[in-house]
Amino acid sequence: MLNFALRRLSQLLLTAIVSSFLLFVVTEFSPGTVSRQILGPYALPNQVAQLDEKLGLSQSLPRRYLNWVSVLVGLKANPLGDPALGLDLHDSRGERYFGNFGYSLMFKQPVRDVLGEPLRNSALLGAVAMIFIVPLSLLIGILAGANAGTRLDWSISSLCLIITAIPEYAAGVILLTVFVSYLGWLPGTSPLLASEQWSVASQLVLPVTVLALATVGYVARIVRASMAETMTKPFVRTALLKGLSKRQIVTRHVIRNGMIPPLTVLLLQLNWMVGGVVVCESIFAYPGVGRLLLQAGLFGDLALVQTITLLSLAMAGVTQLVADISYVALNPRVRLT
Amino acid sequence: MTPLLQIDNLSLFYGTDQVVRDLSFSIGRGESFGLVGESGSGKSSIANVVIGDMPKIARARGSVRYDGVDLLSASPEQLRALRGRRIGFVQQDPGASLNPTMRIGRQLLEALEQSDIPVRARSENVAEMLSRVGFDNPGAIMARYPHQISGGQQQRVMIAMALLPKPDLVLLDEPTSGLDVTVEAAVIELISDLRTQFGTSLLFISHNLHLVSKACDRVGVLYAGDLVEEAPAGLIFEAPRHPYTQGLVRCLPGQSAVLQPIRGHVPSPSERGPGCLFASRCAYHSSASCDQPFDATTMEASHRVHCARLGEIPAFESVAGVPEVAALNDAPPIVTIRKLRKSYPASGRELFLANDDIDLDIRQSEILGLVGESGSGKSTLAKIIAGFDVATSGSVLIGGTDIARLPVRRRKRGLLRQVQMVFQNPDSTLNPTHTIGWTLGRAIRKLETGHLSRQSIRSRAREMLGLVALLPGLASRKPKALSGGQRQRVAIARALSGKPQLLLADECVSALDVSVQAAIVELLQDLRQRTGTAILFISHDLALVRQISDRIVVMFRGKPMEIGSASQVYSLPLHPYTEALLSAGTGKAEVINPAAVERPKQASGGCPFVERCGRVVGEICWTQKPGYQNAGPGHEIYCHIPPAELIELQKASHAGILIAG
Repeated sequence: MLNFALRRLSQLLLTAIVSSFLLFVVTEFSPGTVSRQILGPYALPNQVAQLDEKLGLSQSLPRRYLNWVSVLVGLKANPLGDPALGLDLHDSRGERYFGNFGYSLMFKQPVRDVLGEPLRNSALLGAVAMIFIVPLSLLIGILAGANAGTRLDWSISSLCLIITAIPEYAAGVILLTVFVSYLGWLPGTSPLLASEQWSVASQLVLPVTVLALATVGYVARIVRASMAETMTKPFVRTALLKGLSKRQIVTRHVIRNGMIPPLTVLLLQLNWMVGGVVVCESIFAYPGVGRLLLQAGLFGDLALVQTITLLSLAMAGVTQLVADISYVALNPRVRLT
Repeated sequence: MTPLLQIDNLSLFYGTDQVVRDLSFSIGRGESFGLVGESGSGKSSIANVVIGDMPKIARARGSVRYDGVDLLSASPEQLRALRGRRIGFVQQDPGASLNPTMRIGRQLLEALEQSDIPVRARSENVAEMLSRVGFDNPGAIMARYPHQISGGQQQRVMIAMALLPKPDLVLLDEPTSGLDVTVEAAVIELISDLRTQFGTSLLFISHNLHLVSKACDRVGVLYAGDLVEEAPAGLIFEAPRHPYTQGLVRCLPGQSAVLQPIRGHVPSPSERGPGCLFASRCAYHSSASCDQPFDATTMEASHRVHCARLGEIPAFESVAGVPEVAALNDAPPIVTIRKLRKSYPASGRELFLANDDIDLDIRQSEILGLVGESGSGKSTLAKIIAGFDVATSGSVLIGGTDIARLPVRRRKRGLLRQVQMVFQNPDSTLNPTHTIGWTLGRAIRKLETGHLSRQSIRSRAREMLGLVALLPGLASRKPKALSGGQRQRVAIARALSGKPQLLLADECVSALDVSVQAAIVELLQDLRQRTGTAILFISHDLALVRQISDRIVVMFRGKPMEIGSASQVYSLPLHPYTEALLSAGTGKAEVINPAAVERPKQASGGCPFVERCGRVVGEICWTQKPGYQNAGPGHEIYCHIPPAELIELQKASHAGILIAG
């Protein structure tokens, strides 16, 4: 098991290197350079070229990638922080440290300082959403799958399909109309600052609901399919022939076997949360990473976009690792060779 | 006394299709009843009715009484109580019937949940039952997961599970399909042993007439949902009366000198009329008496036959005897295999030897039978010759080219033409989206060297269909529209389209019903005569291999144990392994240690068979590899004991049985 985990970990490292390079290439090829952004639209081409030279941006792509990684792991100082440039960028952590993501040009601050608060907020949103998503989708999926082919299954499945088909922005707007405009039960924005009227908890309700709606239907359908398939396996019939009741059969024999395939999907939903919350956070003006990513993208803040994307890549890798390991733990048949 | 299970005029419909028609039979207490039928005869549906687990679309009419309770009108609760305590069930495919994520002990304990045995005593009960089904170490087995034990062991666990609540009736649905012959024999013996110990009644369902008649007191023969004949087990082979039963016995390998297939096919539910369902395939059919409903005739000794013209059906004459022995073929070898070895990395640093220094010749236009249990490396050998796998070392020479390490992708067209293969399952070998004509045409185009016009490809495809005795009209059909036997014929036609020197047939009839199987065997023999293609016929079915082969190779753990002509190997099986295999097939005394059957370990230094051998002569068997000894012209055995001495030993042990009996 340890051997397996270690091998997986080294594969993860390789994936991290390759994907970070691809990410770097893609963002570097986006229109506009850092120098142009710093100098403004009226700067002359030779001024831009001069700054490019100073920042090392005229070097070849692999070299620039190496520079970027060196800054990231703390081997080099970020050229933007050079006081000679007069950009007035400081980093309180010093010039070189591990995890230096550079400066956000939009906020004129180190990326780490910009990212801290939104990251915590998004984590809160994601965690609360997951608390609802996991048990709900499992419960619904198991209920439908264990009764496959019945009217209950049919109603649950169609409801899930309809909910999955509603895009988050539509769900957000519908919820806003009903609960904020008509009923006035909930706040329309979620700045996460407790006001007289709305507590922080009440501000979380709608964003969490939108995320849960978008995910539960999808995951529940996958759980249902896997459960329904497991119900047709001969060992389920064996259990029936032992005279076990349906409840006993489902809880003892079907759930563990039926959960093996959907597990990966469920864990991958975590990733989707990181990237896909953009819409949700924008609708409710929620101060999280998703909204920040949108702003950074619109402004063209390369360092910030790179960092957020890199973080979600890392998250994808780690959840996949967790999924693989729990797959092995659930399934005694998988041979670890 | 009323019988334990009594079925009266049971009819079963799936939607509008009738799958069982007016079925009546009964099983007394302590009695065992066997139901035999080919696929689609409705035998498993009957089992489902008895345990009350029918598909939603099924409707049943008639009555099924179990100890006075009508199962068709019983409440789900009543059925559940019956299942847990009074009716046991052993399904086919033990591997899939056990929950892969639960330890065996817990799964067995569940079978006792409905019983009155106090919770504390249950573990002990389970352990005791496990030792009764032949496990030396029940505690260790209970702690394992199903995938950690062999198929035979899994089926023993299933049998233990069915017997744990001490039921009055145990249903066995194809309990040995997928198991090796030696394991199958052990399982059947276990079942009849336990039956005498517990006095349990059995309903044994199988496609295998041999097996059923061995394990049961009475046998019922099903055809398309009709019980055509019911007789004491002994009479089924000796004096079958229904034309279908007679036909079935005639096409069983090992029963007569020449296999006689039953022509035609089982009528699909929409083709079934009110009269005799076998009419379309029956030689004695007369529309005046056979096409209306009629009753079964009861003869002496509880022998019932459902035939309208019973008086005119001649008594069965068995054409007993051995298959015709072909003259020893002295043709030059077309394939020469030398020192062929294939190893796979196993756990740790050990190697698993799938093929162990095989030396073998395949001669021109001969049928070479290759027998062995699963894991003996017979399929690996075929795969290497076909190029789906490459050998670790050694050579396979065909026409001067060594193909042992030449994967199929790198073989030139001329080489591809020379070796072709027919696979086990015809359903999955033919592309369902293309017509038969397209499939054959493509094979012809790919294997032909010169350019062919569209017209000539089409005529060649029709010619190929004719060769395997199919109507040319089938060329425009898709595989779905064909029966299993027809599909296998197409697969054979495809393989033959390049006029190969060697046809590899890996278990190519084992997925087919016996009546169809006999026809395919007949076809292969006929094709060999007409095209001169040599056939490597791989099978686990000993009787079948004997029927078709000129020469036979018996493999064990990657090594040929005995090579000889069919009559040499079967009439005088010298090698202890061949002897064990053949005795398992016929139910004669076993010379193997049954407890050792399921220890798949590789002997390190000595003879690969040593762990299971009943004739070990001493340390030499464990430490030294034997060499091949000549036992007659073209007859070789891989053993330390000289052939003459083996014959003496065999005589002695047969005498011992006679004295004991």
